[in-house]
Amino acid sequence: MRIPTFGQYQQEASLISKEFDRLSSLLHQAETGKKILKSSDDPVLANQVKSKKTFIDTLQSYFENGVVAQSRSTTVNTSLQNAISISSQIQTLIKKAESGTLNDTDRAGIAKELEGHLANLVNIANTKDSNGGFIFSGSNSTSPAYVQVNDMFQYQGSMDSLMINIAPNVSAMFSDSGYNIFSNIYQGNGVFTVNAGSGNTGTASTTPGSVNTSTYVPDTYTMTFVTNSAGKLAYQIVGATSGQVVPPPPATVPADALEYVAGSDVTFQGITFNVNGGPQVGDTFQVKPSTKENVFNSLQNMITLLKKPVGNSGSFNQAITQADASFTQILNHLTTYQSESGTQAAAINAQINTNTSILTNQTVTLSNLENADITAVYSALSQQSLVLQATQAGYLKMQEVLTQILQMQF
Amino acid sequence: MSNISEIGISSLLANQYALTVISQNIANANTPYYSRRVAEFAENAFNHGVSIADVRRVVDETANKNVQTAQSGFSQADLYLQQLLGLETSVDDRTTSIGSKITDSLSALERLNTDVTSMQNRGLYLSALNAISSRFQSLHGELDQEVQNSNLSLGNDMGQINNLLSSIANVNNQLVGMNQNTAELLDKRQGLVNELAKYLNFTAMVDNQGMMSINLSNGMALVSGRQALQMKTLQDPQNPSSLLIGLQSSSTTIPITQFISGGELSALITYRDNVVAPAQRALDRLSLAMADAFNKQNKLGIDSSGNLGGNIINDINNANLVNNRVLSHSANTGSGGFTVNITDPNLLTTSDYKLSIGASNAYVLTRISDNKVMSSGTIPGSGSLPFVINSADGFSVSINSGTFNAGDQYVVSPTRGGANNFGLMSTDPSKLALGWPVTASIGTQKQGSTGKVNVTSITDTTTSAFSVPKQLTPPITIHFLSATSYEIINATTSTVMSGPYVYNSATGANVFPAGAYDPGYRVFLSGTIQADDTFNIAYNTSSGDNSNGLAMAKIYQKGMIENGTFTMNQGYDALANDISIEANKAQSSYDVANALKTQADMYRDQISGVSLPEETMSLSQYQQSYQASAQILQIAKSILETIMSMARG
Repeated sequence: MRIPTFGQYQQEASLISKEFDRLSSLLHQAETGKKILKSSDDPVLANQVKSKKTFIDTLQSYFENGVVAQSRSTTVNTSLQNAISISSQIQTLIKKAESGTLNDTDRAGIAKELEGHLANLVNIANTKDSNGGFIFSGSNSTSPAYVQVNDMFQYQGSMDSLMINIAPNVSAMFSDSGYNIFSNIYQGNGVFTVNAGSGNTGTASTTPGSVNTSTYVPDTYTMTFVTNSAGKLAYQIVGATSGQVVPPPPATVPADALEYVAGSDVTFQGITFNVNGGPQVGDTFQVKPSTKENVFNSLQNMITLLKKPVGNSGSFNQAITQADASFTQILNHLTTYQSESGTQAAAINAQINTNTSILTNQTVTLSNLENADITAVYSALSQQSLVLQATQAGYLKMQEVLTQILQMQF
Repeated sequence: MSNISEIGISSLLANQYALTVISQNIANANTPYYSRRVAEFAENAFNHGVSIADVRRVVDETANKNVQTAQSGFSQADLYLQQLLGLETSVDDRTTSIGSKITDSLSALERLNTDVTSMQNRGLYLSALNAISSRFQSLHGELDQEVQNSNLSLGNDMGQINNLLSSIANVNNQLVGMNQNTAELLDKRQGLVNELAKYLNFTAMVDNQGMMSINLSNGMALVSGRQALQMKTLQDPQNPSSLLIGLQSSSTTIPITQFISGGELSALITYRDNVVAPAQRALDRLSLAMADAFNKQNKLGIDSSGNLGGNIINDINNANLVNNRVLSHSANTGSGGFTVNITDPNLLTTSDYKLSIGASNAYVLTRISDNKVMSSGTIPGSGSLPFVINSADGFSVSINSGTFNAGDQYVVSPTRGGANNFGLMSTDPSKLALGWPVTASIGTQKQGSTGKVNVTSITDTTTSAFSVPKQLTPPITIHFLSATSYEIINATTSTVMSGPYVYNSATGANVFPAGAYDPGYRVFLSGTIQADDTFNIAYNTSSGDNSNGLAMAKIYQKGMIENGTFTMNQGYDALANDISIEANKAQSSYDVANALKTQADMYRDQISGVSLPEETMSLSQYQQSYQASAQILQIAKSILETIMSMARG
């Protein structure tokens, strides 16, 4: 084979440059730690790497929201805890106010204390986050949750709650409707309320009572004290739609009205309560299905009641007993809500943990996909530099041989 | 006696000449396309010594042809690869890619969803969208630049090619009638041929007169004898921004693009038409799909001031776009007025479409990528225009006016201009519609009811329900007649609109569409509900509602391209990946072409190349012969002197 010099040099040069390319790509691998430098080196791998990265980036954007949701649920929990502690202090004060030994001045003092608690509760309901949004206004976060209009507190927020995404297709409560927390509470014993008639002159009052849900018939009932045919102080109960229920027909009223025995239970239509004290003929009590009232109005009513001098002790007792029962409902409601929000907080934490572990796993997978095996790269690198040196040595050798030929004497 | 001198002289001259040839070889050892020369000695008759019969140029036509072919293949692969690698860098860089801008915008949106009342958050999301927009536009600009560069290079190459063609014809001319010293000219011509092979592929043939003709693959002659034709660029009759290659014959220019499959010309055209143009269309399609998705979602929500949202990105069917999606063939004799509307971006392909007009206003709409007939029929007379051709590929062509003649051709390019159009409609962050226009709440609820009501989606805000700004027309009350049935009441007039409907507390109920009434929103009831419980549906006035923002975040996970195959992020990755795959293939082709070229060059050099060791040895060989010839003359001289002295003596 006849090898011409020009081609020989070219061939050697291209060999060297090829070996050098290999070396430089290994050097790049060693420097960057990545298997591929541009996608065309391995399009399939590059595509896998890209979709992994997109997945990780996307998940990371949710991660931030998870942290925000977590901090929000902590704020909500703290606020609820404060509201509960205030409410139980309120209940203690109500119990104190129920005591018959207090005079009007004592009660006004309690009212003063309650006013302080009311202000605190309203503050809690109108808690703002760091961005200035009201956290209990649902999606209407720029309005305070409760404002006082004509001495009554009104909910200004939205009825729906505000959700945010904490993972693809997983959302978490971010701002619940304050209505659910502070307004969605039934008064009295939670099923019905018993109120004394405004013109009552006697000293009778009732307990909040209890209900048998299987026989309970909701209706507005009026209990009226009469004198029966035997000349005894007696009572009759008539429902607005149910008609006469005590005594049950065909008994007639007031002739057949049941004799009143102080401290005894009255039971009808699934309703049971105890009546005590001395009623007068003509006194009435109204039994109605409970309606919802927000915490603040309940408290405001209580304050108004305590500030006024006690007129009829029966009516006062009735009102304060009902208020006591309402606050038991409020406390129950807040406690239940707190535990629900605790469950939600736990779910958020769990999701954050899930996100973190997915993120960790995916990052490991990504690094397995795209990172070069550094040991292998370094070993290949030293091999390659050896090859390059050998090629260069070959080139030099060839030059040497040529020079020798040229110097030969023929 | 004189014979010896004669032999000596002839040998001296012949060897001297051979030394000249060797020196010439050595001197030209590094000259490209130089073919080594060999001095051929021949014995002179009747003992008259020796002479140089010929200085042979050592060549092998096959070897030269291989070099030429390999050169075309190599130049093509080389340029194609370099262009692709350049393009890959601009689409594939993770930090500047549209893909990363999309992910950034999702992050901004998720942050925004935690507080949609913050103008700062809204502004950040808008700037994230704007970053997508600028990247769309800059990438589109880069691709446009690539097309222009390709066209420019084609033009420049034409000048080079024409020079080479006329030089070859010129050499042909010089060679005719010359018998000697043609080696230099032949080498020069071979060099010209190899240079020409860098630009295009052709066949070179030498006739018996020694004239070389250069023919295209279809036999069309570029150089024939002393005549060289001129190549020039032509404007693509179907697309003014694209150049084709033509051959200028006496009066006309014949398009020859399709006959060129090698060399730089082929690389430039393939890159422009098969890489850049599809990438542009894919980019346009992606931007159309994204713009449409963002706009549709924004229209379902209410903005900061409580009004229904509008487009946040320029409309994908705005007048500027719909009027420019059809390109007319320059040879058309009719003139059609068209608008092309995109009906569903999810169905768009990256192909263009050909609308051919036949006899009697017959038309055929064909997809160019696979020649599938999308639609055919007859265009009605001008009285019945506009005439709409619907295509299954997510667009419709409306023929609004004009006359149509058989043979007219139009190219319909539904995606044209998409990426450039991807710009923000407004920089006012309050225009982001992140709340839902409808809210549902519990009206009255009896003791013991656990009923819940939710707005689950907004489907259409162009219904009568949204005909009055900032109002629901009518607001609705859902009234339960019993635990298992409800009716729908117009809350304004308190009249029953429809019902009763059956309610099952175990499964809940989707309230709308209620009978024939579809207000454009969906409401779901659940839980135990009792008679006389009511639920109210009204216009949403909550400032901080993020329901539509959450729905907008879902767009990012939704398949919106290729019939739902790709999300927007994947759509971009697919586009970039297509280029990477092409670059990867080009790298392999380059490696093969490079190996073939090296081999062809080596084979040619083995035959025609100068080997310095060989020449050095020949040099000493002829030097010795030269010295010996001088010795012959010396001897002849001394013999003569001996005879002379004898005669004197």
